[in-house]
Amino acid sequence: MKRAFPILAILTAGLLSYALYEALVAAPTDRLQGDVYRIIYYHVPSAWTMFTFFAINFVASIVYLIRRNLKADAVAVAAAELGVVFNTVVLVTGPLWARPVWGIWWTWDIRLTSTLVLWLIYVSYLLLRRFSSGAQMPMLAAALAVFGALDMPLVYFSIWFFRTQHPQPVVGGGGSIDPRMLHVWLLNWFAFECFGLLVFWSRYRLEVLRREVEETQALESLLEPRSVR
Amino acid sequence: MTGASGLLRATLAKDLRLEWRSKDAINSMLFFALLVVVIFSFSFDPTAEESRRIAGGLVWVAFLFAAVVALNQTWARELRNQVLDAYRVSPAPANSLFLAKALGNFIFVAVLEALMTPLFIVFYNLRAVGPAYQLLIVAVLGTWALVVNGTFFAAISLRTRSREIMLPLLLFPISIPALLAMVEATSSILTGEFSAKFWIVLLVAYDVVFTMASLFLFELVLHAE
Amino acid sequence: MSEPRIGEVFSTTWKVLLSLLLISLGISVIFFLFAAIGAAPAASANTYLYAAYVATWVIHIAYLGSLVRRYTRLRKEIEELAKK
Repeated sequence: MKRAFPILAILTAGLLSYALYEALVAAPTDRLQGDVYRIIYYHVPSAWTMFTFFAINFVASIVYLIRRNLKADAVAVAAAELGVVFNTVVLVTGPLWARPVWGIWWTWDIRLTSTLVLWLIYVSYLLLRRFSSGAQMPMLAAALAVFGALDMPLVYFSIWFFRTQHPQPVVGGGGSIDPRMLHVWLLNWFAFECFGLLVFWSRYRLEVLRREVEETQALESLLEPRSVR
Repeated sequence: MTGASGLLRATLAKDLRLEWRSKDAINSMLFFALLVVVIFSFSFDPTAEESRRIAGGLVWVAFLFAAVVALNQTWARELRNQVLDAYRVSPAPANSLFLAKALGNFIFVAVLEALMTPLFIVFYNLRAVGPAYQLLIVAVLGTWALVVNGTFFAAISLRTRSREIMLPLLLFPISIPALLAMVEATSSILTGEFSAKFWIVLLVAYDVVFTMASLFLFELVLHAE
Repeated sequence: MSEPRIGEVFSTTWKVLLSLLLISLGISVIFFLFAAIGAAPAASANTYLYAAYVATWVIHIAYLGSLVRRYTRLRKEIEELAKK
């Protein structure tokens, strides 16, 4: 995998560039929204990629809780960080799309709100990992990840009902999708997924290396002869 | 005292007795809630109509902040006196300890809510247009939702730096569906515009899910160093 | 004797004064940015499009930068361990 990395990186860069070209130039202009709609070629694939990484984090957390495998914990933290990065992209591109098209920066609609809650939960997850020390930190973080995953369906339902009771402007309305647009959509999703997985792999390797260094340092300090003078 | 219920009763009784003597938690909670009530009352004109719309949110913000005060000191006494280590080596089931702590917190926050409610009615000229008895149900379910997760996250926060900051940081995002339900249910009942039934069902679901999750995972958290 | 690091060159008083100065500079920059954005004529729709694409890559590059920084710090620690 290590040797393949540069080649994969170049391929992914090429894929992203091609996807960008398709999104900005090749895809047809929307009748209603004009060219601004092209933001969805970054907004929606980032959202899908975000979900895949949070799903990976959930599975890795459960694996850790059952088996206490530290590699699973490294996967969990890497996936959480990547998920938060893509989540940030979604939260930034969303309002930038909503403003010119629907005239408002934000609305408490179900997708935007649940994305925001997801961001809050996973940022709190990363903060817990940063602020706690000790060998049990992965276990505490995994417990929090499980809580977060259990929470999401409830978040979704609560906002859905809130919306039904208090109708708000709809952002990102549905409607049928032009097949040419769908092709660009999927292409961008595939490109971002590859990019995300490469960065995820780097982060995972970094975490494994960091843990090794920590262990070695701990061992060093134990074996060092203590001078009392 | 042996057995799970024995431990639960003993721990709960001890906490209640200690709190009754010192009244530490209740006093700080009361002060906090009062502060929120007064400051927010500056922000809108408390005519009956308007206050009914907003009061739901204000009431629960005040109770949430007060609950955090109570939750932060949940495990403080245990930590100070190395009681947690004693629990870890004893054969007592961890769940009893958790339930005792959660119930203790629930009682503290419930007492606070009982004390604050007349104040809210007075300050904001509140009168429920919808079925008022449902407010009691919402209060019980909502308080348990905050307290059960809060007690669990308080135990997690024990092993972090900035312990007092960590608890609300972890608690608030996860509690968002419950908070939304509490606020919306209270507003619905006060204004009488909608039925609070869905929100009450959602609160029941939330309480069930997270009580089970906390009971399931508390053993692991207790044994963390 | 190794070269003094930035942190060691300034005394605490200077550090405090410098940070206060930088913070007030930063706040004024942000304030003027907002004023400029507010005063400017309404952005065309495509401005938002480019802003979104640029913002996406800024976020990704910022994260990659933090990874690179962590890697180099780790490399340094490994070298120190290897010396012992």
